Amino acid sequence: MEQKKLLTEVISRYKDQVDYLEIHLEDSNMMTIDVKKSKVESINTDFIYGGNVRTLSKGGWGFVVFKDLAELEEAVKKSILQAKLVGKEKSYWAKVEPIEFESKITFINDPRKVSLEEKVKLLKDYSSLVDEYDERIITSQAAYREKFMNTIFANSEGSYIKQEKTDIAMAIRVTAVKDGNTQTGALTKGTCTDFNVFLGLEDKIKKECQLALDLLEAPRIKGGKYLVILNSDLTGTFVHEAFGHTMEADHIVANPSMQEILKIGTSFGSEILNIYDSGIIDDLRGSYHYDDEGTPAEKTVLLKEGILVGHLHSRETAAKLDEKPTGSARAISYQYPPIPRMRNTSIEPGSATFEEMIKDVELGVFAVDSKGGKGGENFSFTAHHGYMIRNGEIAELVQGFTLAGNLFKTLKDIDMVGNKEEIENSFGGCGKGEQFPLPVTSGGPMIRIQNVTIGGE
Amino acid sequence: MLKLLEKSLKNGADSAEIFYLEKKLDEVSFTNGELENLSSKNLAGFNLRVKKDGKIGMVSSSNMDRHDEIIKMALDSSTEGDILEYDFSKPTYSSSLPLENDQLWDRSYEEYIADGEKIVKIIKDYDPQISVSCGFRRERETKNYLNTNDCNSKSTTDNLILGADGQLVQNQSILEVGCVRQLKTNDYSVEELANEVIQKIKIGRVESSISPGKMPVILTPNALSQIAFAIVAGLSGENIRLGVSPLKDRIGEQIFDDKITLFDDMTLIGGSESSAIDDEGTPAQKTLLYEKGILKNYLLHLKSAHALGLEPNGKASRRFWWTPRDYAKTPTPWFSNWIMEPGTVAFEEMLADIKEGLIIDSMYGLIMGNLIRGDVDSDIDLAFKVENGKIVGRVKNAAIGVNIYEILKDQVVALGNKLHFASAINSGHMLLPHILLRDINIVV
Repeated sequence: MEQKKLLTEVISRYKDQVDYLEIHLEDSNMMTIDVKKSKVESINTDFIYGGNVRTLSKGGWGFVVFKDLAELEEAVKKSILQAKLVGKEKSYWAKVEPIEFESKITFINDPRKVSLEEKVKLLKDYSSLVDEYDERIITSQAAYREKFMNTIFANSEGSYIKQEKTDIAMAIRVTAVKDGNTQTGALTKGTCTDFNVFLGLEDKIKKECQLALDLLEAPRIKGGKYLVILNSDLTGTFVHEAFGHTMEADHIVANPSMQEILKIGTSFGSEILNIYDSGIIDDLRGSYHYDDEGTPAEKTVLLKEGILVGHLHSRETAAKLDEKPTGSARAISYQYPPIPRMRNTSIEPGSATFEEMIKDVELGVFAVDSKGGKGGENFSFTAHHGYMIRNGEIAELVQGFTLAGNLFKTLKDIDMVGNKEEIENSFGGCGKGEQFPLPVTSGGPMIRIQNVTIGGE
Repeated sequence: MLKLLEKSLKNGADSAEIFYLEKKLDEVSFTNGELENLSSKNLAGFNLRVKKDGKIGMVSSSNMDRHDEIIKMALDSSTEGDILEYDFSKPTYSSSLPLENDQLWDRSYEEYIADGEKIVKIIKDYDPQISVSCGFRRERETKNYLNTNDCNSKSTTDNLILGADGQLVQNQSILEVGCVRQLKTNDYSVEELANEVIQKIKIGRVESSISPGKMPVILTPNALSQIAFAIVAGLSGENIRLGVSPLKDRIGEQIFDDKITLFDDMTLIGGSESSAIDDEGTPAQKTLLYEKGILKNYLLHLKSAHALGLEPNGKASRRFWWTPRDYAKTPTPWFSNWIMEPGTVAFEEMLADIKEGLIIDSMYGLIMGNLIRGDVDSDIDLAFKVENGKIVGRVKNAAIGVNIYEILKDQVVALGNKLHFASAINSGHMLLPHILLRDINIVV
């Protein structure tokens, strides 16, 4: 209550000097456990505490990060000075109803009730399962991360939002080597509420071990253009890296030509294609109640039947493009200002079965699981492995490869969308500038794309 | 901080160390030709490691007050912790390097704003269609390493980074070029920076095409700095210790072409990563990594050095890829300032020898491919076609798939005679030459 009083008082004292003022406070605990080759490498707990002040004056922003609440008032003054130096014209700031709100998480199995000893034992057991699988497996890594965040947001419009957030994830990684050839396997899991998702993964881990070994013997694909079917994980990478980042409106606002290219109503693909980004799917790592500007989270449809119908907005970008804010303004911590980001990004399922997708394919590639990538108009990402498709059937396993293409062309080249949508919590996060890692998820059904460039031998 | 160390001993630790990091920074940024924001940050935090019964416990905090809770957490985690086979003890070390520069902080926001406006104006005067972004970032980082063996080393470093980007959209296609500078003073030329952007746009706006196949390729220092991540992955003491690097047990072997000599130098005057100590308190060093292509040293921190029976060479880093240094990150081996010795051939001479080939300036997705194995598979972002010794235009939609242990061994024709600053994704400081490669397969 004391904190609320302090923030409210400071805001009311200074709010008339600027068009808008907001304060963020964060008090978080994060613990990471890293196990390699069945041995604990590190256990690190981080107490994160700090805040920031952001002010808007005549279109100009000031942003000051402080490490102690005692510095709050100085930070407000400095931020106002900055905003006034920058601002010369008009502030664009979309209207959002002020709200007082407090959220608590309901856990199914609260990870804080699982002892450190039990967590370490679980990771060591998974790691030794990998180590003992085969002598060609030279390294196992098991990593666990849990973050419990308490954030407070207060602004000059009267909003006061207290949110409890969590981000909990595990990754088991396998590295196999033969004759200088290194291959990997990985299993990742994540949750917001339930430690149980990390239990009983033995069979899945063994599968990853076997895959890494099989890949040691697998050929590299010959570089060139192929018909490619992406599995759900890679569909997620494509829709996140290539499409999603392009829809983040800060880039669009910054570039008048992009505003023209990405105009609402423009056709980008066939009518089987429906893409969305949602912040309100239960127990997915990209979900929350309110974004870091006090806008409620929502499901934002971006592409409807191939037509562009939405962008991902902060309150400023929404006002500048005369659209509605989408609750997409997010910051990875108090050290950064909120910017338009994705949450849980996916493609709505279509009607095709896997059999229908491959049956008439003479030569193609079934690309499986993502190893990351880079977005934008010209995207590029890596498949962990793949299978050749020959004469309508799945043929030999091939090593990981890079898929590259032009976003707009590729969207048009998607000719089939699978009938089963999958979105999974994983370990990593999204990076934009310095802001990494932000908890997000991505997925979708399998999609079939014509003429994809694959790098290789 | 000393009190926290004493308290750790009192509460049962056998020994303890603290890595404290304080950071102050100011940023001025322009987007699409307009001053976008000013920001400043004041951050501090520390990492405490305790040793108890031979095991390590670790806690980080940006909260300076909760000493009792922090020590308890560190000691509790030590019961499950890794066995620490090496000791914290190191001598107190200070450096005579010119790392700090108070003058950098004399300049006002208004002066940087005026310089940013100049950059925008110069580029817009050339072509008003170009969307210009630019920015200034000055940063002071203070590291303080202390332990219970009376070690107390401190190092403060100032840096100014400025950069400018130009984006031009023509026929649904985007050309984006950028230039970066790193300095210890405010002594920069906005004209030079802006003109470099204009030069790149001038060449890039003419589109050209190339047939796929093998051809000579010049990698610019920027492209080479992207590929260097595969070199880092191979040299990392962690990857050697874990047995996943192809360079394990190969010190003394010819790995690259004999034209390649490469140093990691944390004592480089003017280097953005120069410091008195690394992120574990080991004194900064200049380390020869490759001499005439022969592998000389790995990048080692305390743990990897101990495991390999080698001396640590001060490469412990608490930054990872493009993310800033973070007190809470576990130290791992990473590069500081990299310097490749220049060759003898001028860039113009390299060009003159090419009948048909490609200059690659940047690639997309630099974390692509199996980096530890040395694979770099990437779509090319900015590349220029060379025809009969002349640059004729930008090539789009090309990709490469190469292995550094092949191309830097068998395909090196020449190294440029000048070194240029490069910093792929703002990760460390590199001084690199252009490099001409004989036959590289380009996929279009």
